[in-house]
Amino acid sequence: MADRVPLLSVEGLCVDFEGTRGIARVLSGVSLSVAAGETLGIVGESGSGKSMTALAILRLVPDPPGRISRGRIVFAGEDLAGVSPQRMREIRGNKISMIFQEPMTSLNPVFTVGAQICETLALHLGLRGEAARRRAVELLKDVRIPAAEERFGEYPHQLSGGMRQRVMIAMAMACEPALLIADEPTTALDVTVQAQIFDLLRDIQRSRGMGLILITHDMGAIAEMADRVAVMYGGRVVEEGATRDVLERPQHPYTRGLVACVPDLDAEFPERRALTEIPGLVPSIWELQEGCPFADRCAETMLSCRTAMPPDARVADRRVACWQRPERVA
Amino acid sequence: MSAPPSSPRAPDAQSPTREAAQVFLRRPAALAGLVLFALIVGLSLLGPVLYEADPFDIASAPLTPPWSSEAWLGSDQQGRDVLTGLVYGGRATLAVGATAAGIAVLIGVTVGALAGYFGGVVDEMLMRIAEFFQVLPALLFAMVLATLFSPSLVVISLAIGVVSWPPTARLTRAEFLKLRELDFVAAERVIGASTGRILWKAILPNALPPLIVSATFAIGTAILFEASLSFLGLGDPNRMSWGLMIGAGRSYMLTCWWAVTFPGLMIFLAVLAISLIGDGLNDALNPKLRERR
Repeated sequence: MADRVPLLSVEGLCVDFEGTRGIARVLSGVSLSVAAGETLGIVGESGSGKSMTALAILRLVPDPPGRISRGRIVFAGEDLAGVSPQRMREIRGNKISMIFQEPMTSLNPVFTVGAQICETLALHLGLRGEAARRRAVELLKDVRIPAAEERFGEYPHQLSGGMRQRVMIAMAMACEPALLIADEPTTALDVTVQAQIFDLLRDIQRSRGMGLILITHDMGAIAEMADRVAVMYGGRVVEEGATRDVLERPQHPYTRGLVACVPDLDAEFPERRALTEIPGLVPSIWELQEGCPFADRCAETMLSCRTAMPPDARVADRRVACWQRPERVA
Repeated sequence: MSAPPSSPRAPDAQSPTREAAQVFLRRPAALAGLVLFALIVGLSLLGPVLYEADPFDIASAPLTPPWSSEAWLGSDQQGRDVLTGLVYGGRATLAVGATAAGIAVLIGVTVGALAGYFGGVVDEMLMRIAEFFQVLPALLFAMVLATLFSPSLVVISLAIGVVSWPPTARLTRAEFLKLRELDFVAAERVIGASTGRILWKAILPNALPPLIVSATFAIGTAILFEASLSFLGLGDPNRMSWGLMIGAGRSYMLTCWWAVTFPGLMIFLAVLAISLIGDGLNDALNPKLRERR
């Protein structure tokens, strides 16, 4: 893993939002990387910057008020933070695709699902007419939609949530992207459908050697799907490493809190089954001060946590941003 | 796990357009409006072809009352046949109505879409312009435009179109404000669609139902507008229209009621037909109203 060539590497990405109360730094120095055929899980609470990171990679941060103020987004040797809007449109949907958490609203209600898949094909591959139709039906079959020929001509309201998410995946896969970003793809679906969608994503990813960024707050999904995991808090990546390593030996107090939140139903002692929680709330983006954003909720806060943001401590394949950790990671 | 259960099929798998058409055609009022409108349009388009005459010609003695053998619907103070006027006047009236409504919808949809989608400064500027046109007394402004330029059908259509776009702009803006936040617009951006494509191909079709209804009513309003301008003597004097007939006959209204009543009736019927169609479309295209039925 150490000498892997990243497909996408985000380095020191900062996103600022300008509001009536001043400038808020929504992402401050996010660094991540994904290799081809690898799944990177991004976990964190609501408001930690997970979705913003995804939007920034696709350069879809609403501007104004948002702005990528610093950092690089290197994808296949190109810095996306600096390319022209036109070049970015060529990359979106073609080289990098994304699926959203809400399949009920992500499809345009006035067009058939077939027409919507064909649109992507026409936009990037110039496929039209019968050729586009055949390819679209193939894609629907690839995402395991039964009776794909018939579904092609149906409207989104005629499909169930799981079906719609499959259609979204089919649209995202239309141009065989090198990287797929899935932003909580199963949050709106029930548990059995969730498992099916994850199976599907994993199979597609393996068969095509595609990079996958899976954004979620479901630790179970991370454990099952991700090769590596990045834990985000307050617009920063606080810990990153191989999934097993991070989940079994969490270093950052926040990661440990997250892992402890997952109830252990097999535990012999009833008190282990109880749900634990991390006290407090994610700080508002307007209130970020000096120091570690987690300091107020952390049980191990010390003086330096209040005065300066801890630097990333790297040990082998692992990265932790905590004043307490460097010496203990080894 | 590999074979997902198929979801239950929707009972009637048909396009929303066909569904709306069925709802529309099941409404007696809407259907009546459609038939009436078709008759009026048919009369205006085919009448002059089948019945050749010059509506400005003196056909009989002036002020011939209706139901007489030489002039079925009578003649005006100059001896011009009222029936011939009705047959020939429809074209101009309907053409001005349709063109003016088309201009109003074109300006209104463009301005509203840009304002609603981009928001911020663009929205502020465009809406101030719209408000400027809204506070102007529309009829007066149209009169000024018609007086400044020679009163041809084109100028009159433009004048009416230019004063009546703000309501369409506001409606479009509201729809775009609502729709631009939906995920499918974000999905459209994610597949690399350009802004123009998102505006016109992704959002606009979703905003169409209320716009179609509003455009229909706009035709009715434009016809009334044209009649008002012609009545005031600001219509195109070389093209027979129902408004012009009322305008020409207004000074003899008390002695020669037929010269103003019949064209007035035609305008009334045309606007009524369009309103009925608009109402029917509103019911057919608005799923919320449809369920309440």
